[in-house]
Amino acid sequence: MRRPSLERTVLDVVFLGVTVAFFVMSIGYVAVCDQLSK
Amino acid sequence: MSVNGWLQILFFLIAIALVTPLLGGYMARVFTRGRTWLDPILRPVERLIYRLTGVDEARDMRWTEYAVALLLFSVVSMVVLYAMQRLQSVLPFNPQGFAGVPPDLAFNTAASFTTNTNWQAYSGESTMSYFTQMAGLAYHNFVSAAAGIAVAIAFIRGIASREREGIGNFWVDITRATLWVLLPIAVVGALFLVSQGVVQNLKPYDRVTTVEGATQVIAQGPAASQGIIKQFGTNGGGFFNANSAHPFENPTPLTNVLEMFGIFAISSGLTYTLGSMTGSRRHGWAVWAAMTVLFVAGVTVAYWAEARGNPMLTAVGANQTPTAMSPGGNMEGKEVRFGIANTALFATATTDASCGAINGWLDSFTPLGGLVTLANIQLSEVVFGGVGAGMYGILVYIILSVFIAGLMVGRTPEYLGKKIQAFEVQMAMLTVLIFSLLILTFTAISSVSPGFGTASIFNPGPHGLSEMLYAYSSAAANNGSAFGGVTVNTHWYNTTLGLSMLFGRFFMIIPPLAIAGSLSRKKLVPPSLGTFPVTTPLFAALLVGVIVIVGALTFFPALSLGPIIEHFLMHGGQTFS
Repeated sequence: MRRPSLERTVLDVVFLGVTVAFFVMSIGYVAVCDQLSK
Repeated sequence: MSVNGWLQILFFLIAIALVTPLLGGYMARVFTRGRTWLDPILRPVERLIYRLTGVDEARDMRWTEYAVALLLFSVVSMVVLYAMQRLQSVLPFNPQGFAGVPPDLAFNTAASFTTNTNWQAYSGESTMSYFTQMAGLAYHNFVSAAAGIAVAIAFIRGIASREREGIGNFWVDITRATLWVLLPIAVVGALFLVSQGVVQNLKPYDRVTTVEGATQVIAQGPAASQGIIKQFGTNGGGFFNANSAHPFENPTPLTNVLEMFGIFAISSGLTYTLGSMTGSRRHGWAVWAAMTVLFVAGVTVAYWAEARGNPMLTAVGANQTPTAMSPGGNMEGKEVRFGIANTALFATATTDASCGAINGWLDSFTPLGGLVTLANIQLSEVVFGGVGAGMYGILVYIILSVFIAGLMVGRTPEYLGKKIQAFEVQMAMLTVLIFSLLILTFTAISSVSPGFGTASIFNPGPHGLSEMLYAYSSAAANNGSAFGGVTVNTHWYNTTLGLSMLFGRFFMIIPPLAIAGSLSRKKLVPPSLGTFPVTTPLFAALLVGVIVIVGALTFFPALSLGPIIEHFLMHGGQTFS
C-alpha cells in the first residue's frame, strides 16, 4: 500500500537529512584525526 | 571433491597470478603518469574533463583535502541517486512503468551503491527502471570502485613519498582510475558477455506462454554493461535478483570463469602496483602471498564442506555421492550447471573480495561452508578485497604487523623506510575497532528485538543469528552479498544497514588516509639490524597471523553461537523449525 504523500515527504527530508548529517560528521572526523596527528 | 574441481580452482589461481604483474604494472604507470598505450585516446578526454570541471591536475592535496574531496563527491553522488530512485516514475527509460522507490529503500540503495557495497533489499527487475539501473546504479559501480582505487593509490603514494605534504589529487586519481582502468575493461568485457548470451537491450519485458499454458514474464534489459563492472569493480549488485545465478546474467561456463576472475583481477594487480610504486616488488608479492594463503584456506574448507553434503539428508536415504550425472554433495541452492566446485569458488572469492555477486544461495550452504563466507567478510575484506578497499585495508594490517614485530625486538617499527609511531597505530586500531563495533552492536540489538529484529528472520536458532550477523557484516564490510533468510526491506534493516554501509566505508577510509598523510611527511630511514624485512615468507606468515588473530578475537564468540554450533547440532541430528 502506498503511504500518504505527506509521510513520504517527511521521510524524504529525514533520509536526506541523515545523509547530509553523516557527511558533515565525516568531515568533522577528518578534522579530529588531523588534530591527533599534530 | 573431484580432481576436476581442484583443477578448476588451480586454473583460477594461476590466471590471477598471471594477470597480477600485467594489470599491476599497468596501474602503476597510470598513477605515476607513465606512458600507456591508451594515452592517445584517453589523454585528450582527461584534459577536457579537467577543463570543464576546473580541476588543476598539477595540484597536490594534503590528506585532509583529499578526504574532504572524496566525501563531497560521495554526498553529491548519493543525493542524486536517492532523487533518481524517488523520481524514476517520471524519468525516461521506464518501459515497465515502475513507481518511485520508497524513501527507506531509496536511502538504503543510495548508501549501498555509493559505498561500493551493492547490498540489494529489492529485486532489480521488479523495482528499478532502466534509467535508474544505467544512470544511477551502473554509474556508481564505476565511480565507487574508482574512489576505492584512488584511496589505495593515495596510501601507496604516502608510503613511497619522502617529506612531501601531499598524497596526490583525488580528482585526478578518480578520473584516471575510471578512464584508464575500469572503462576499457568494462567495454571489452561487456561485449564478451553479450557474445556469450548476456542480454543487453532496452525492450519492455516479454510475456510468453509456457508449455504448461501459464503466462511468464521474461525480464531483460541492459544487463551485460552492468554485469561486467559489477564483477571487476567488486560491486556485486546484480541486474537481476538472482545475480550471477541468472542465465541472462551468467549464461555459460566461460562467463562464470570471467566473472570470478573479475572479482580478484584488479585487487590482485594492486599488490604488484604497491611493490612497483614503493620500489619493492618482492614486498608486493609477499602481500599477494599472504592474501593467497587465506584465499586457499577458505576455498579448501568451503569446497570440502559443500562436497561432503548434509549428514541429515544421508541419514534419511538421500544419495549425496558424486555420479556421472550429479556432482554430489550439498546441491541445495546451487545451480546444477555450476556444481559444487564452481559455487564454492565463487562464494569464497566474492566474500574474500568485497564483491557480493553470487552464483548460488549462501543460506543453503552447510554451516561450515557458510562459516567460510562469513569469516572471509569479518577478516575486514583484505583477502584481495574490494578494488582499492582491499589494498588500503591490508596496509592497515601491515602497519599493525610491523608494529607487533617491532615490539618483539624492542625497536621502533619501520615500514619500507618509514618509522611507524603512535599516530599510525592509533589510526590503524580505529579502523579495526569501527568495523567490529558496527557489526556486533547492530547484530546484538536485532537479535534481542522481536518487534523489528528477529521478526524478519525465517530461521530460528543459530542459523537465524548467522543470517543477522551476515547482513551487518556484509553491510559494514561493503560486501553486499546476502546470506538470505532475512526480510531486510523494513524500516529498521534498511536504515541500520544503510548506516552500517556509510560508516563501514567512510570511517574506514579516513584513518588510512590520515596514515598516508603522516607517512608522506616522514623522512626515509636507512634499514638497520632491527628493521623487520617485509619481503620474506616470515613477514607474509606474520601478516596472515595478525589478520586471523584480530578477526578471531573479535568475532569468534559470535561465530560460535551461529555457524559453529549449527555444525555440531547438524551432526547431532538436531533441526530447528
